[in-house]
Amino acid sequence: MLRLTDVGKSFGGAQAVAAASFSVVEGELVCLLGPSGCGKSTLLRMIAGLTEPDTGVIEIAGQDVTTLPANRRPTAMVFQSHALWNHMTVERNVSFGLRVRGLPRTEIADRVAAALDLVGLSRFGSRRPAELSGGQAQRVALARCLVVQPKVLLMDEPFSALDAHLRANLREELKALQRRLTLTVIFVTHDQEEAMELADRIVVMDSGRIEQIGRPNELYLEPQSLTVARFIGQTNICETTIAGGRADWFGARLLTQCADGPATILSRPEDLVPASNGAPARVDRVTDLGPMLRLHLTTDDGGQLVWLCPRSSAPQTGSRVSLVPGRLQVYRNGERIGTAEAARPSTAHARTLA
Amino acid sequence: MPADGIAAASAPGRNSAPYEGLRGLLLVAAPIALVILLVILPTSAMVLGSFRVGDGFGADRYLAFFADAYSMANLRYTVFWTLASTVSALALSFGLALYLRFSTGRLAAIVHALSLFPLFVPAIIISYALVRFLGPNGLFQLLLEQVGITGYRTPYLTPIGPYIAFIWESLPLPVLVLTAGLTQVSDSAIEAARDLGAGAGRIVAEILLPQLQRPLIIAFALVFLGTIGSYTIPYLLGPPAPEMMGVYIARTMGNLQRPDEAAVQAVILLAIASVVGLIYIATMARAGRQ
Amino acid sequence: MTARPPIAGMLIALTMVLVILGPILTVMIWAFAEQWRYPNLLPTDWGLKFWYQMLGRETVITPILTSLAITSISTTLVAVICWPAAYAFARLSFPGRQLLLFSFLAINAVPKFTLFVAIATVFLQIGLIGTFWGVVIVQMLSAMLFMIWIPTAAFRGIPPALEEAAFDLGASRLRVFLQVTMPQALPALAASYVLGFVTILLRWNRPCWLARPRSRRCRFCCCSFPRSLSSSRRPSCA
Repeated sequence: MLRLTDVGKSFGGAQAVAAASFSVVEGELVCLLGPSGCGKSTLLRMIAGLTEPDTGVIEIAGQDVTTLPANRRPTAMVFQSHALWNHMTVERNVSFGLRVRGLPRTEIADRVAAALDLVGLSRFGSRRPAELSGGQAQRVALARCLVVQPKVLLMDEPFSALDAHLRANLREELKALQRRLTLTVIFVTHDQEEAMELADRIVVMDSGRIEQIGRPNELYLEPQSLTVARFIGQTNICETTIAGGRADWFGARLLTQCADGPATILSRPEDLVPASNGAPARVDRVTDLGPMLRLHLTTDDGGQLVWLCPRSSAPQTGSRVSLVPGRLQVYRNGERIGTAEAARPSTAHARTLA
Repeated sequence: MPADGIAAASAPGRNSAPYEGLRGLLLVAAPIALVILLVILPTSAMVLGSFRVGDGFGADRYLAFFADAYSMANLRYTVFWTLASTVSALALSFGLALYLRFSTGRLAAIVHALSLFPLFVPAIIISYALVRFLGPNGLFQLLLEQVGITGYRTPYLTPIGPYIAFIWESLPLPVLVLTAGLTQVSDSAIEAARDLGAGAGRIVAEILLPQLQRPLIIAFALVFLGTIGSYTIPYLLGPPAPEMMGVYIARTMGNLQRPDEAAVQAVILLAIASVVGLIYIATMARAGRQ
Repeated sequence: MTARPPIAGMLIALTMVLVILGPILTVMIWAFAEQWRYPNLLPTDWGLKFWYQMLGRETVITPILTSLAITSISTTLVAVICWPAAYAFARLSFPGRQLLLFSFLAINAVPKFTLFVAIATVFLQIGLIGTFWGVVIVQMLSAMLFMIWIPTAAFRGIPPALEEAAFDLGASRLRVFLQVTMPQALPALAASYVLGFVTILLRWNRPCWLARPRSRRCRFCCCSFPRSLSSSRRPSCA
């Protein structure tokens, strides 16, 4: 449905987006995720036609739209600021795109009513945008885009100005709507939780570059770079050296297939398990998250660890534990080079004897 | 939007803004041409012409101006009373702006409307009105005598007359500028200071005034520039001599029919005003960049 | 916000009424007085005699009408050339934008009288002095700063997303400007028009010799008042 090939843009020498390439199939919801200033909004605006790319080709439904201005592209965009026109009623706002297209009056009325019904605001047609709450305004902005039946719906951090509770509700509504109408959506956000929850696939961006494209669980379980790993979920980071297929992890032994040399080894807080041959550590602080407890630990060699552990087996603050990591990812120069696993007790024992 | 117009203009045929730089220049061409043709060129020509002596150039006419005691008295008189009325108008409007910043309700609205009222009164009207109000046997004197105060001496035809009129006439602009400046200071900044024990005087001196520097400079320049070249008020209310430069220039040009001398006087006035004018432009430029 | 006692506000308001309205009120009373002998607080004889006298003279009515006509033409012309320019200053990027925007401040930075002398010299040479269009052009200058700066700020204040949303939904640039940008900027544009109109009509005291002789405006009959103001009745052009 949408294909980007080497799309790049720089502003006065500063590279905003560098040779971005990916494609989106019909009915897919893709999130562009990254910290602010990473180029995700610029990329979205280039898809919309509001910013012209310096290089590359943008195709929508098989048609090259790279040189088409925004008003002639089959896209519609929901802005962060909702961008409703306060001098028009909700109805006039929603019907704008249809009036521009010169549709007959009765058809416009029908489609506007249907669109407002979709977002649950049928009775708000004669209101002014100023009389709407933040959530309602953003729904109207969505209806304003849906009504023109865009081939690709673009959303630029649409919920980031709303409070957390409302944001979660709108997210669910959007996901349901997208499934029901099989909408193709590009959704820009800096909130990884939002991206994980909404997206079929996530495009992680940093400093104008695409770091990784993948399904949410792929990104979480096997982040291809340190940047992605740090951005998605919490991680325990261990700077260490691999020598002869072995490495030290806060005092515990790891085995790995990776080549010798310096390495950064990451593990997720929920993957730590107690084991006799683990890294010795002390519990500094316990945070109760409800279903789980989060423990902040200091290892004996001074490292910091975070451990998400089930309520039933949680140790007290101040007590000593010994932990080994489960799934491990090994990085060198920021790129993923492989995995590692904790050495079994016997191996460690044997080495100690030797 | 492209960060820079040249880049946009050099990529014609692309979608976001074809020929943006050219379109921009075309749209601003007419007013810019008017400014260049009617302000910048004539002023430059006048400055240049005032140095023309016969076929060559020289400062002869300026030397004549500076040697003439009457001209110099006019110049000193103009600068002194312009400064005096500007500073007074600023002080008054600062007080008013402070009141307006911290008051709401009908009373504040009335005060606000009244402070803007002079904007809609031409100089000729206020001059005439002040004559009738403050002049000999005017309404003010009548009012004073009603409550038993006699011996009122009218400011009419003394320097105080135009001084009062200048303040009256120039009140709205600084009130507007300073009120706008004061609304930029957030309530929380003031409340935080009060919370830490600052009194009203300290809040004004340490929170409001520093943040008001730029509006104060702009207001000063606006009032100063509006007053220094004025004609009607000093002509109708001031003493016959010394004269404000505006009256002096008009008389030299109109009654005495000596455009050369008028040009010299005008250039000298411009020199003084341009100091303030440049400060004003620099301040606006800095404000515009932020 | 503060618990300022209303007494202070009352005092300020009262002083303002006396100082601002006092002089104007005096003129109003004078306009309806036929005789006012010292030391009476109010006129000894009321009447409309001077109004009849004034309105009966063609030399008074014509200048007032001319005044309004010239002001309307000048203000409208300024709006026509300045509003699109303001839009360009706010939304388009072109070489020298900042410098050109600040060049309008030059109008205010030069004392009016210096400017008049300079313009009069030019007008004398090209034969515009004292003509209708000469007056219109000079007046346009006075309103230009308002008509550029206020609309520029207004256009800048409109979030670009409002225009982009319309553009994105298929509207042409012209349609975006007419249906989204203009309605959003309208209050500020109207304000700048009124300010410009008032400035031209009331505040821009051009000397008599610049506009002589064909298009005498209301102001100029005031100019010729005897300095003593002994018998004058002000034509009510305010």
